[in-house]
Amino acid sequence: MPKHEHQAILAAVLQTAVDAIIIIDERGTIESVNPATEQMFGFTSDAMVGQNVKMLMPSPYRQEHDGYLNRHHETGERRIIGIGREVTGQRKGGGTFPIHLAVSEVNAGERKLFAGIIRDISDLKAVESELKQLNATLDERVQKQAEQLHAAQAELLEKEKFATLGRISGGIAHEIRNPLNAITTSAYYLLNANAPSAEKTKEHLTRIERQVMMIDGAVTALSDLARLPEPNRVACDIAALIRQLFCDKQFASNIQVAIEFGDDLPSAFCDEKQLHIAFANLVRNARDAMPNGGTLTVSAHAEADQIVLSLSDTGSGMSPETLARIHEPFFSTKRRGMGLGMAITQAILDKNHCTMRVETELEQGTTFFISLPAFGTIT
Amino acid sequence: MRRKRVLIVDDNPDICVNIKDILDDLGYEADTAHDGLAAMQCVTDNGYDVVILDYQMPGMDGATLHQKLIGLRPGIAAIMVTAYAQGDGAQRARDGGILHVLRKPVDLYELLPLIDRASQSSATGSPSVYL
Repeated sequence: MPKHEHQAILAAVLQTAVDAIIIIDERGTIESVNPATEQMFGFTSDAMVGQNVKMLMPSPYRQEHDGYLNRHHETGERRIIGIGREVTGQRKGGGTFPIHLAVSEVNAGERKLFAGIIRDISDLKAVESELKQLNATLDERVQKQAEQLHAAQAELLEKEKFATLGRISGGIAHEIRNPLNAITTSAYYLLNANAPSAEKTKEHLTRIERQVMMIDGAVTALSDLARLPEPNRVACDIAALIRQLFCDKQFASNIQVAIEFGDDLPSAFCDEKQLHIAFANLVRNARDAMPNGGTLTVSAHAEADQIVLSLSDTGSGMSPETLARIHEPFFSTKRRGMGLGMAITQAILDKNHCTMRVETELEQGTTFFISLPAFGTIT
Repeated sequence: MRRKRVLIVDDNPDICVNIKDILDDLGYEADTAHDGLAAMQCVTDNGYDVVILDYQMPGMDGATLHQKLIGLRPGIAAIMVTAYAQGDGAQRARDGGILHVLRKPVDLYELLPLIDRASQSSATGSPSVYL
């Protein structure tokens, strides 16, 4: 490229550059500025050329700039030359704004010049500052949201607790007021009937007796649940326990029972009598879930220091709503059921360091998996 | 004069039989049903003047059953006797047109006059409004 053409291009670049480009001499006197400088600082080119570049700086840079130049002359130390940094510029009206300044050293024959390329970074700084502010409050906002979440959770828990309490007290009311109602109506009949036969009188007295026993049964079951005795944990042959359970229980002929235990099943470390109650409840539920028949499969295997017993029926299964409430005292889907069986079962399993997991599908069946600690392991 | 017919619906058979005995003794013609479906069958088969409903029953609660029964027999008068109406159960019953919800153990000296008045108003064709 011919030299004059090259110079013409350089001049055009200078004229059209978006960044302000200022040439100063060794003392800081402005030699030339491009149009972007005029636009950025608000001074005309004439007002700037021949003046010290300090005019474009606010305090304290304005006072310190001569010192920078002198130090550079004496020591060659570069604080900004060839590096570039963020500083502050000052406009004609005195307003300041953030700029990025990159200075390069130009040797023009005998003279040493400096070219400063200045970019207005007001927008960038504004965004940065906004971001900083957001960051500063981020923790606070997260904290606040977490607190709100905790409060909502606590409120929900409290509501849930009251709802459960309500359902339990409703269950107790149902179990006690119904027999009381039978008693009071029998008593009324006996006191007021015009001519009760001896047979009717006996019938009502028997009914009163039966209903008193029902109330007693409800109260006993509830207090048993609340005061389940500490388990007497010993080595316990689960296979024998299950087989005994099925010997004691009679099933309808349309229910098949399959017991699938390996020979090498270790003993469990549990209270045998309590486990018997828990398993009997689960077996009874499985039977009741198959009014039209089906298969009840019980199997067990060792898994690490646990024995995993599974009890599976091909019955009606449970809806998610039912599943969520099965451990709740007095919750029952049965026509005649107090709704304490699963609550007692869960309490027994908890006391015996056993865990229970349920898989269920409507119209397909339900499987309970019970993990029991094997004898000889520390639990 | 025709004997007034009362249907007692409760899943506790002893309660059903007791109230039936009391009402029979007083000259009513009383029947019993232990769940919603049986009660609907009874009302379909026989006209009743009054139905006494439990709330908490397996399959269908008393308030729901009441709606079905007035669908079958719009003039039927209903009284609810409940140990514990869950949640908004008692309110639903009242909203559905049952004006009297009594608590178990029921006070017969309160219930019997209500049945009497209900059966009378049922005869005049304006049932539960007088309850």
